[in-house]
Amino acid sequence: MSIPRSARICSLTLTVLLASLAHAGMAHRDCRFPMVFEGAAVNVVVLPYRYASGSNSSLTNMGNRLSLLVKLDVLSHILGYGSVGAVQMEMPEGVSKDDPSCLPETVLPKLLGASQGAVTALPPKRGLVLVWGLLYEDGDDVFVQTYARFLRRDVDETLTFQAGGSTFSAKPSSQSLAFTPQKLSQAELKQIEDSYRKANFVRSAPDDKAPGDRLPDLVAKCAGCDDSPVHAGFYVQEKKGEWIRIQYMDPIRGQRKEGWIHAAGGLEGTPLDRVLPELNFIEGCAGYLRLRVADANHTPPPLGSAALALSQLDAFSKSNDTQPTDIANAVALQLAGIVEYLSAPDQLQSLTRAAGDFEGARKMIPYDPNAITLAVAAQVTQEWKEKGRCDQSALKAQRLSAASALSSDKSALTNLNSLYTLLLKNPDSVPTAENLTKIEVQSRLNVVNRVTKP
Amino acid sequence: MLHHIHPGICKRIAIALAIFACSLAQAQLTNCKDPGPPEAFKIFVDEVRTPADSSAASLKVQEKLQSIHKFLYENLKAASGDNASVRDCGKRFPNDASDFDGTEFDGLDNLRVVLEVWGVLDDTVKGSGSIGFALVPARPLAPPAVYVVPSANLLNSLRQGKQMSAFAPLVLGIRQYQNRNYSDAVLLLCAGTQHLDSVLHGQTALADASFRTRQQELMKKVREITDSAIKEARKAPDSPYQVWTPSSDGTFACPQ
Repeated sequence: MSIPRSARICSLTLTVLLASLAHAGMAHRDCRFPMVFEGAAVNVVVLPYRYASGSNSSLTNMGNRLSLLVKLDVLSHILGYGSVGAVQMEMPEGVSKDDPSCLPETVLPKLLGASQGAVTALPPKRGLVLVWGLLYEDGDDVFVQTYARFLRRDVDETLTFQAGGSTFSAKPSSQSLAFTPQKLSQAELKQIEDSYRKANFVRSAPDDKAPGDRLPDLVAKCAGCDDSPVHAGFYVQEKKGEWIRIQYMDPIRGQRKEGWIHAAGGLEGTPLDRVLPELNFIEGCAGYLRLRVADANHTPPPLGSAALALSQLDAFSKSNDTQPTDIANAVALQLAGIVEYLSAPDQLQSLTRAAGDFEGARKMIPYDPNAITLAVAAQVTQEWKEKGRCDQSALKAQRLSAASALSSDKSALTNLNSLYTLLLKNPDSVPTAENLTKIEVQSRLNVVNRVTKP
Repeated sequence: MLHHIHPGICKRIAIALAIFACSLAQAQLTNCKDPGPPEAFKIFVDEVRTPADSSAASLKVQEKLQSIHKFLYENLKAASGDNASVRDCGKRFPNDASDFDGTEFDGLDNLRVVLEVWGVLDDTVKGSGSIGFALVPARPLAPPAVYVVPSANLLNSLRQGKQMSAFAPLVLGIRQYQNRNYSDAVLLLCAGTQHLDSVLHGQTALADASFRTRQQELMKKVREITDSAIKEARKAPDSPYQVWTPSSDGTFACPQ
């Protein structure tokens, strides 16, 4: 689908205006012309929550409303990361509900530049959290299931550890997650409606009774923009409790305007992330990506960002503890471990905490090769840095050998090679059942070398 | 006299008999409306019904049935990833678990279907009912490999017991093992075993005793074929499985 030129120009103008700003948001973006903020290190893009079945128009509207609330709530909680953008997309009224434009499999390739249609695609090495969901009706109740995918463009999420001249690498076990569905009562559905009405306004003061304009009124109607509306973005200047103060361009008058959005009003005082705890994961995941972008650019992350990400990921894990083997829980721990490690890679304490997180994740999904590798690699590195040796080498070798076999990536054998090479440097100690002898290590290393030989 | 018949004719007779057998089975179970590409492994999601005629149910009840169907569909899709194609089978629905006899299983196996799922909503107000699973490749291991799991509230128990998706990796792993793709089988078998273990022992464990007993029998068989799959995978000269060290008794098990 080609984008009308005038619409593209309008949108690009707005994007350029906002590109240099630290926190940006956009509401009611048409799914057919997706965009991200090019200047932001990390973007969170929220697609409408779709109604799973039937033609209940109130639930279809609910899907759009929920996505706006999710986007605003997430944005208000990730401002501490600096350089973040948040975009909420929806399908304009009148378009068939079967139109695939708002599906993640349609939007994501556009945002990654793999297919045409995005007004602005994600720049290389920048982070993206794509969020979408489904609504299921069960009598008077509605179940909300949220899905998320996180990535950096053209970069994989591999983390590297160094110990005694050996290198280990591993990545999180999954970058696509389906969260446990949450049940909303009729009362909560009504509260979503009320909260949406409050959040969909830009007011002159942080007060629901203050005068203001509706968010859709921020639509940029450029002269000659065809009938494809372009919605203006906004820049967040400050946060005050549940409110954010924004600045936006009025493209018709060419003026900068300011106002307040009740972004984190929750549902009648109950924070939205208590009703939908997966929002904690999404927020923490944005923080994780922010740290990884900073690390890749060799720039310091914003002050306090690691602690913020850790608290958000921890809040998610605690809220989801009835699903102990859920892969989302394991990935939350892995992201927390990576944040710990990246925040102070030279400090033993942060490595020790990271190793604890990775081991927690491994216990949840013990069959997963990445979970095993992250846990073993961090333990080995931590022990080597602390004591100059590696303990319980038989167990570590047993686990990492299984991970190397289970991994579809043959380069996983490099990790096993690294472990055996490191174990050959282990100071001699009294042989025990827990530790391999150097003869055993050498013999195993020979097998690895034979298998990896081209 | 059979030795006088040309082998090609024998093959044609066998195919004709298989088609006849399939058509007999399909007299009970209608064909899946969208069986998907022939080469892919498939998961069939049948209709979710009420015991009475669902088409006469109120719009509200029909939406509830659709919701449960969609929930099964989406979560099986998430659980199987790129390993299988999840198909919406429209009106296909077994009248009874016994509809899945040997002939029906053979037909499904030929279509590369690994799992078939359906649901019955007994009480439309309370939401109670049952979910049925036909684990096609598991039939030789733990016959009849058809499980009907009762629930006090279908959508709620599906929501809490996300591990119901355990069957997807498990049957895919068994099928890969049967196809002698041992390297591909092991990770799926290990993931399925772990998920099924959560179904049987976790905080949200299913309470149905008969289901648990039969699942434990299946798990025992799956552990045996996992050990066998790893041993077979090690036989290839450049297999990464050669680096996997066995436990002290020489057996292999999924990492714990």
